[in-house]
Amino acid sequence: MTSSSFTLALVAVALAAGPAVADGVRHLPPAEAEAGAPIELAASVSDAGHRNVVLHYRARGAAAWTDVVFTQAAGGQWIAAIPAAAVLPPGLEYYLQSAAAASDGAAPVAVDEFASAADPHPIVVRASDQDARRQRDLMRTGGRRSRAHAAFEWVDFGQRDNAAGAVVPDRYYRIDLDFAYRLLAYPLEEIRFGYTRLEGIVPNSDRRVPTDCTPASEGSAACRLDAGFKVGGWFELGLALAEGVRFDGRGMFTANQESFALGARGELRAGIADGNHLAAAVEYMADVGTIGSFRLGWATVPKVPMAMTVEITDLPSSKRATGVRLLYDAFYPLPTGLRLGGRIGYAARDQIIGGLSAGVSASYDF
Amino acid sequence: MTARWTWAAALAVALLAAPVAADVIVAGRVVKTDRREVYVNLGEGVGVEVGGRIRFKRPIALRHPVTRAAVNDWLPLGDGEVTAVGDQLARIELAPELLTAIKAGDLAEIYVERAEAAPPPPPPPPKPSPDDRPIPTVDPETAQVLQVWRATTGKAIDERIGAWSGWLASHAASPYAEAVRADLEVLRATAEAMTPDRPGGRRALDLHVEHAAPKRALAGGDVPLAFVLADPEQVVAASLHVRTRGQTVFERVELVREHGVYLRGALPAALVAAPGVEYFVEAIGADGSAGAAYASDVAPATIEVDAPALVERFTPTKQRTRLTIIGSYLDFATFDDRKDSAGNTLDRRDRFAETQIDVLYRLAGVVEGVRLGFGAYGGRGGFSEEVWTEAQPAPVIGFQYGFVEAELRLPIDRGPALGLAGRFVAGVGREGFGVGVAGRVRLGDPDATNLSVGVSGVQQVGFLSDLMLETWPAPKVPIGLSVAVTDQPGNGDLGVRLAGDVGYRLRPWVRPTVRVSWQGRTAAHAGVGGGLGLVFDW
Repeated sequence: MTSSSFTLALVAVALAAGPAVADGVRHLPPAEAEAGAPIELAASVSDAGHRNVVLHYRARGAAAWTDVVFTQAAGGQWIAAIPAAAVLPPGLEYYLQSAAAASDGAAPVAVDEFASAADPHPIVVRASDQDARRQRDLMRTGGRRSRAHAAFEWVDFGQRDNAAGAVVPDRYYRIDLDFAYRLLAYPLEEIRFGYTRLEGIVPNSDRRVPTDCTPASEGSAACRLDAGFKVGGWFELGLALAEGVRFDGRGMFTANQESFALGARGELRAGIADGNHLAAAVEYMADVGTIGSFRLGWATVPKVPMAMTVEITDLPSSKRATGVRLLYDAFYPLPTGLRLGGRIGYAARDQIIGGLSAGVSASYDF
Repeated sequence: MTARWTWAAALAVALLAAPVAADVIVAGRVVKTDRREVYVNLGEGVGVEVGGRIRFKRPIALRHPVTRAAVNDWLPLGDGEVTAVGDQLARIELAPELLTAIKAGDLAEIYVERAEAAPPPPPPPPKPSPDDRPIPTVDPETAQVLQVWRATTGKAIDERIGAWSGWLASHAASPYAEAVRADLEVLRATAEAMTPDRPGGRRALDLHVEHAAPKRALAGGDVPLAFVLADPEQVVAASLHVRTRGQTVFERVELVREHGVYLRGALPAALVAAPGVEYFVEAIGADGSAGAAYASDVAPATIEVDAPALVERFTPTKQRTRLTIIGSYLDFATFDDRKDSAGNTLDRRDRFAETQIDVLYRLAGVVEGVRLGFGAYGGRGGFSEEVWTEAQPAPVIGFQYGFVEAELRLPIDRGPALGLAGRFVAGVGREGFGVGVAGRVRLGDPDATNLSVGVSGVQQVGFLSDLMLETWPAPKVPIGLSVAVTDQPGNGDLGVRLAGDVGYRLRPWVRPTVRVSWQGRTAAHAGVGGGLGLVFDW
């Protein structure tokens, strides 16, 4: 080393904060820890007889510190342990201090040995993949696992007539009541039980009122059909194929106008059900009809998540022609877990006659 | 010996070695470099003699760490012996390690002894009037920075880097840290540019740190790291070099030195991405020598980073959603004034209108976005030669529909972005339920200049294919130009439509647009159209 570089070295070393070398405590910080397992911190203490080394730790984001005094273990190492119960995701932070008794009998002064209270060192605590996913899912639902939900919808495809002047409405209403519980036992994420009532009145033909109907006979079964069912019970499994991809499969039992009947529903969804998502669904109810739909939901407007749905359907009777429904939903979630929703839309089986759809919904998470 | 005393001693030695007044240091430039020697523009005329030694320096432009004023300094390169002298030039033979270090333009200096007497001393300056104002004091932080600055003046580049790195490692929170960090970047870039020109290359430092490396990390989060110096006396500073696996270049992160033996820092969140993040630690000695202290650039340490779950694509963020509302009207018969034999204008009406509202959600992946919307379409006519009468009225076409569309961005590294969009349409027309499909191939960014080709076909309505150029000639003004071929409304005769769209970004989140168009099915059967649109981004 030349004299000038030696001088420079001295300047550089002299300007480094604090002592060039920690004179008593040496500790290799752990990189990460596993949730639920204790963390053992080791240190070598050169003059252990004259000082106490103390570990201060806390959960990340917490205010209060917990102190643990290092104790000597076999081999001369000094050890302090963070108990398993405190090792929780997302992590911990800690620092080490030592306190040496003063020769004049004054109270010992704590000195930072590694990190500090103002700038503690973090330890990332990892949960198992499933636990981490469960934590994230619970965070999205505010820690609430159950949901009670009710929805009412009025759907009008417009009044139909014929050349003789007979007029028959083409409409139905639907009530859904259900309860869901988030099991989070992946891939089974949720189970759901529900009740559906769907009743409507439609012309007894695919589109127009039958030609032989007159105003006098328009109320007869030959002209007008009572469609739907009063009681439908169903059971649904929510299968999370991956985090953010879910398939809901439903089996349905109904007592419709003529007999006991079966139904089924499947929805494949990517995203967050109450937030940004895409979904494609098919629902079939014997004699009542089939629905196919695409839905785009977005939660980018603050406090008011919304959705648009394009639905292809022949409800409320499989005898009716296929039509489309164009639906817009807006929701208002409250911090209490209550979530209110409103729906408006347009329904038509052809371009000549159409009608409005409207609905309300409420759910409560707990 | 303290640093202050050492520095004072060094300064005293430098002062004692200063030339007497009659001697001068003559400066010139390297004008030519050759295989074994260089030529400088200093000759006998300025007192250069064979056997004299010429030292070489390279100018460097710096900024003062406190005042940020521009400062011209120099870096020592080495010296060589004069082997031949002419009137204007001198030839200097160089040691082999200097041959590549010295370049034309470098400073050349020689100490020349002059026989003449020293010039008379300058007159003493006028005695200043007594000033009782207190001398301003310098705070300790500034004093330390100035101390390093003085110590590094005229020093080799590695030594400067070592000194400043050492200061920064223990003063990361200083108000001068940002300035020093910037200056260090300049010094490192200069050092990099000089490699391998620097005499002897850069000395490698053999140092090690203890480190417990994490195995996995979450994408998009900082990864805090700590290192323990095995040989702390030899190290003044250390840097973390980080890159996402697959990248070629490492980014430097200064490690903060604490309590003498510890180095702490974090892998920046922006680099913590799937499939992993790689890093190594470079330690710097006080003399500027450097070396890998943990892993290395050729064998970096690796932390696995899981790809973010699909659900992360659906986490609400700004500028992901776009609402578009458009309405347009096209008339194919505005200028069709063909008359019958009696001179009566014939009814050849041929027009249609369309309104649409849709929402786009951007996923920022291979599936770049998904769009869902509603629309209504209505028109009459569709034929260029038909004449409509009460007996044969113009056909009425209508369609109310919904659609869902996905746009893919193909993962191509070279050239402009290539996107593919597919749309499924379902709706009802006068004849009942109908469906349609549409597709578009786009070259370029959909929110910048792009060229696209689209084709669509919908039952009861017809088909439309178009070629469209979209660009932003001004930052707030997008324009679109398109040419389309269509048989709308209602599967009629083929026609062509030329359209131009102009928008204006009123606010970052709202952009109205205007459309004008000309369309025709024949030269005689043509007309104009227009439209309005509103685009909201949030």
